[in-house]
Amino acid sequence: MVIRALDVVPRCYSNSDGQQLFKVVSEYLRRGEPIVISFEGVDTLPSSFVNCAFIPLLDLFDFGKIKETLSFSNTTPQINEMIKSRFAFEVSRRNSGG
Amino acid sequence: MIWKILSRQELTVMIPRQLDRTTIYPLVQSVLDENLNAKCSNITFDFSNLNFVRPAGVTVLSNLIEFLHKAGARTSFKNYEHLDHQAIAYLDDSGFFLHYLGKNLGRDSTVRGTTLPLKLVEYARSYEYMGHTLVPWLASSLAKPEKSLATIKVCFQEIFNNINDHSTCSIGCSFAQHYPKDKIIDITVSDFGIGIPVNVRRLQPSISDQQALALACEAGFTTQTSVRNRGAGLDVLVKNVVIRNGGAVIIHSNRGIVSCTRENGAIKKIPRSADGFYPGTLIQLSLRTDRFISDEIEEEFEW
Repeated sequence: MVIRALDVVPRCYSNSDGQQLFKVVSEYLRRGEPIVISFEGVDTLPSSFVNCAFIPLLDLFDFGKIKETLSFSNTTPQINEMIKSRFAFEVSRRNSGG
Repeated sequence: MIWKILSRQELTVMIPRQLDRTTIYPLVQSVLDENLNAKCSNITFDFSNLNFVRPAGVTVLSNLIEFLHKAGARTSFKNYEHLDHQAIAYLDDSGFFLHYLGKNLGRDSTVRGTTLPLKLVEYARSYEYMGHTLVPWLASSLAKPEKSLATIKVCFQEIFNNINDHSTCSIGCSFAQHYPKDKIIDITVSDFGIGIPVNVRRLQPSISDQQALALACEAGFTTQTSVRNRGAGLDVLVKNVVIRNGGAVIIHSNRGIVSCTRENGAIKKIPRSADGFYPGTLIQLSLRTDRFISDEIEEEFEW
């Protein structure tokens, strides 16, 4: 299933925007259904949004399962870097018991 | 937070000869005490000494006036009518007097192409401000397409999210100036919230203000003042401006200052104590227009 982020939230900016998208994404992952989030119409993702939309998935699912089930389309280098660097940092912190 | 007015008397405060981030401390302390109480109920700012203005000075003066109004004090201006003084003409062209007196001083005053005028930006309107005002102005100044400024745009999103998530206020004051001869664009955003060190000390009570600012710029450091906040905002800002574009980031907050520049491909962070107290946070980004690297528009995602 491809879900356009801007069909769920008016903009990809704040904590609360991220929390709204998290509800949708986590439900798909809970059911084990693959999901692609499309960032069509979005040029930037700040850390607050990513921290709320995707990072809390690590509280519920193994990172391997997240990578298998969740992907992104219509992205820019800034969007990719923000998502990947936030996950990398959080996974490393959790693995080291931080 | 409730602020008091300590005296019903009138106070005249001289605007410093050079109004920039180095002279903000005596200016702030002339009208506010350590607890952010207004010293007098009627404060007149005297512009007769003013000779030179930088963006940081404009945003701090504006924040100060707004703060005094919030505390119930009245402000007025004196010796500001001299349009033959370059600094006054610059303030007028920048919309400062239009904002505070309701009209420009000069009939021909107009915003210069190299200036992004003073704007008090509420968080609720900050997304639109960045998309419709700040980024188009930057794109024009850098002669780049707006879409290629994503890493810079996200810096301002981080700043405004930080103001909203951590500072206990929801308004940032923004001002920017392009200096074509120096190939530099200075953009300043300031707020009169509680300041970064206050938040950091909730986790590390004995840390100094300047150490707190340096720590707040580290990757992954978070004060978690918001339930879902996990840090990375200031870290992203510093990486994008300093490492990627060879610019500089300078942060003033409470009694600390940290400056971040690039040296041998790495971030050189210099924390130091300030000459006084700044209520809230002032962030100045200096972009080098000759070193600016545009972003690619699209890239496929791969884990």
